[in-house]
Amino acid sequence: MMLLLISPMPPARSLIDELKVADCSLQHLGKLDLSRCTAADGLILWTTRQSPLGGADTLRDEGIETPIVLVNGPQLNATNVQRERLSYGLKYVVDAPIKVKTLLLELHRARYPKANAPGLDPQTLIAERMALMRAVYSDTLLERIQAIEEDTRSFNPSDREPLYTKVHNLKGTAGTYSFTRVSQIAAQLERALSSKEPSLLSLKAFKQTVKALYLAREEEL
Amino acid sequence: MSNTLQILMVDDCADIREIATLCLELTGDYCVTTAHDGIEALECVHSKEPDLILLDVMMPRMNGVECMEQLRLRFPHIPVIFFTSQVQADHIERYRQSGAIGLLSKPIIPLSFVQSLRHITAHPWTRP
Repeated sequence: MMLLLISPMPPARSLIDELKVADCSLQHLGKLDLSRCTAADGLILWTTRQSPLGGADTLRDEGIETPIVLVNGPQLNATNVQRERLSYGLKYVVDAPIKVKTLLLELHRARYPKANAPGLDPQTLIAERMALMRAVYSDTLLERIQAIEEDTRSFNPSDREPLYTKVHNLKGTAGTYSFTRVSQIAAQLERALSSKEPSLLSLKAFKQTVKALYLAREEEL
Repeated sequence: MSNTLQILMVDDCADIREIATLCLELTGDYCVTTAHDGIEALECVHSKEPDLILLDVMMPRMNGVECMEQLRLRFPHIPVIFFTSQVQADHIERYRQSGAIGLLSKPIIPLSFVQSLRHITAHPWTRP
């Protein structure tokens, strides 16, 4: 995959290093080589307050249809309205500081917005997309379990809904991404939260369950 | 005239909506619109009149069972399949009595998802 990172300023060396999974080269926004933009598999466009989304306008006005992922730089904070205004496929936005896993996922979405992509077997496309989504999800799993642990510490039996919702979501998403054991433990906790059995809803029981969730996550990463 | 079936996929989880949409659209037989809760689903049904609705149960603002009650009152001709991980016997009975034509259980398994959906639309409430 050949990517082109277009930036009005030199990006951090660490970002370029992280993108070594792809053949990534640099272009200055003010001196674009349009033929290279056309030949690339994807364009990563770093924006600033000085050129808010303007680089994308330039590229599309030049007839370049290469998929673009917009990096929402810390100085820009592109609003949803701005993003919507760009009917150029710029719904693919990652926020700075860039996480490479997220960037690669958005690039995949930008390159293959539909499953019937020419030149790629649909099942392969779905497998690739799910693998990228799983990688991004994996990074959020710890935070999800920590949020559940936090809620169990201040558990109020008469207001179970917030915790129940988090647990239910964990069960569903973990199952989707083949964190099977995490999903199973979340399902046990979900059942406990639906019951009226005090021993299942004790702090001790919650601690054991949360510990099991952490362990299962470690095992299944 | 297009032969594609218009499906409304209702789920509060963006990842599940995306995977399901990819699976369905790759067949070329389905065109998918999505909604993230029951309220948005009712708005979509009103404007787009889909041929089939896939409906999650646990969602914010309006859950799937509440949404189903509204659908039966206002759009009784549109078939609905529940798509959920809540698949205990008492839940299934409730889905059946609500007028749904079937149940797809989560997690979503891309290879069998479309096959299961086709089976349900052809043979409501039977196992493949």
